[in-house]
Amino acid sequence: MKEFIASLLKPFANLCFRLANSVSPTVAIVIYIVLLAALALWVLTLKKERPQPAAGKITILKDLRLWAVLILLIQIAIYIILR
Amino acid sequence: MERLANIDITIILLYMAGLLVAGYFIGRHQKTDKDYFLGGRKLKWWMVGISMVVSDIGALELVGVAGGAYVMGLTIANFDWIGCVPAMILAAFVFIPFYWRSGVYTIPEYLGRRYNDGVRTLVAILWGLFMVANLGIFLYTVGETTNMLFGWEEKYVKLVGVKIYTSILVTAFVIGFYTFTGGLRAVVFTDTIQYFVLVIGSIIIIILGFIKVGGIEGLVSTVNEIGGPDRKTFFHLILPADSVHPLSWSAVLFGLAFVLSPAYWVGNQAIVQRNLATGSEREAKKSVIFAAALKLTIPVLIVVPGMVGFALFPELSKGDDVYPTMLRELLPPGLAGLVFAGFLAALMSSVDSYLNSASTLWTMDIYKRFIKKDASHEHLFKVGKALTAFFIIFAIFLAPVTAKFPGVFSAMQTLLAIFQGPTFAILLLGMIWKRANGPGAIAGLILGVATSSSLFWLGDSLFQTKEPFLYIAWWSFVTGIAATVVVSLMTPPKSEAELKNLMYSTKS
Repeated sequence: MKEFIASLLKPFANLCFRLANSVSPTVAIVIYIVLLAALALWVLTLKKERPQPAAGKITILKDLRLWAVLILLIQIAIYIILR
Repeated sequence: MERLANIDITIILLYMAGLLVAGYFIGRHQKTDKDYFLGGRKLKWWMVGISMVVSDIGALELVGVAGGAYVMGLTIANFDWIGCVPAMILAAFVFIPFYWRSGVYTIPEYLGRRYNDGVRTLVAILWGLFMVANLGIFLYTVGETTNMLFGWEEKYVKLVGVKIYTSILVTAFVIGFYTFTGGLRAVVFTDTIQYFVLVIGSIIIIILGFIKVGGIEGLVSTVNEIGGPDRKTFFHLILPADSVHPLSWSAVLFGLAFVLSPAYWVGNQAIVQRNLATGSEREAKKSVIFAAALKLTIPVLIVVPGMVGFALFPELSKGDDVYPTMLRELLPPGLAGLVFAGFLAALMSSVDSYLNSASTLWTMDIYKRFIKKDASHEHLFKVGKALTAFFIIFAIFLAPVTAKFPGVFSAMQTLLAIFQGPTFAILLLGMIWKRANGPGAIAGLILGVATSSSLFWLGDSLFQTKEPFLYIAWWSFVTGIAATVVVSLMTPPKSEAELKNLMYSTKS
């Protein structure tokens, strides 16, 4: 039973493996970085928060979007340097 | 150094006594379930952020990730970097604000509102059982490590015929006491202290380790000299798909970054519960973003010691022994006590988090829903405390069972991989796709779990890697999405009014 099911799925599994294996680590790094950069851009497109009465005006240092982008940029730098 | 000196044991005992006192004082004024499970919704964002990170480090990461670094090298850092940071940013801006605004105590409670009570019950039972079972495993890990450090292997007592190590009883008493008396507030407070102790301990270990190995150059040359073919990629962050190690680039991206990591940061009750305990939606977001920033530094504290450990102690029988070995072998008396306390602190933080969250889940999603629907807040507070006491006692008896089955620990992690993918699938669709409904979510959960179980069963005959859990998580997620979409399209949708404030596109 196990062998039969495995034989049905094996061609698809092999195809997936061949596709993944055709991507070199250098290209994989580029994929990682593009995804992280896309996430950072998406964060920047989010609406700025409405100031809460107690919090006062949302200044640039209080803008959580920018902190999130900074963290993602550090992450990108780590992957570029250490790959 | 063979064992801890008396001064080290004194420092550790003082540290544990401090935790007991903190738990007592924090819990004095708590009266309701909101105080106990959500810290009265008054916890500071930075403490919550620290608590998220240190609970995640816990027993698993400190022992397992340092052990992974010993065997695989730098690539294990992916667990903390791309395997955490993007998901945490996503959680901060998409999921956490909704959970906070809806005023829920648990993730199953949110799923119940978004879908139906069947989904809530199914997810609550899955997570509830998993958390309670994990308590025994965590406690066993803590007890075993304490045995090794204190030399208490021969010290045990017999309770109702079961041989229980003294170390397990001591740690269970300390964790149980401060979690029982102080609830989530005590857990977060002690986690914050534990983080700083852990950081100081790790920095000392890194400095001493690098001095002994001859700096970065010494580390590189030693590994190149003695590493052999399995460690050719020791200093590489990204591994090719045909790597001998399980963390190839494709497994990390699809299984970890796309599924297991977001499932963990947006769907694990033990993690999310503390975000709900902050004072406002903005504070909740801040806590997650701060935790993401801290996550950037964790590989330095845990992965680097594991890598240095290989250069210093290449003959260890298993990688998981590297961190305790470095603690034991590198540190002089006095300093050892402080660093050991940090090590124990990290181990204990996962137990306290799971203990508090298991109690929350069983109180709010099982007891309140099936046993006493009209329970008052004061009554639920008492039930939560009683369950906390019950679970820690249960875990004490479960821990020796874990010792008899060495595969239990990995089996529990496998179980996590089995249901996290489908759970994340229905959480994600529930948040972004209006058409997703209850029958679809139940189908997604069941088919997703069936897929991951089947793939684990097929295992070696299908995958190139020996540990395919990341790929399995991916495919169970894909199946969960597909099944939810198909069944939702075939059944009636929920109305706009029912979805108000429960989705990203219907927020007020």
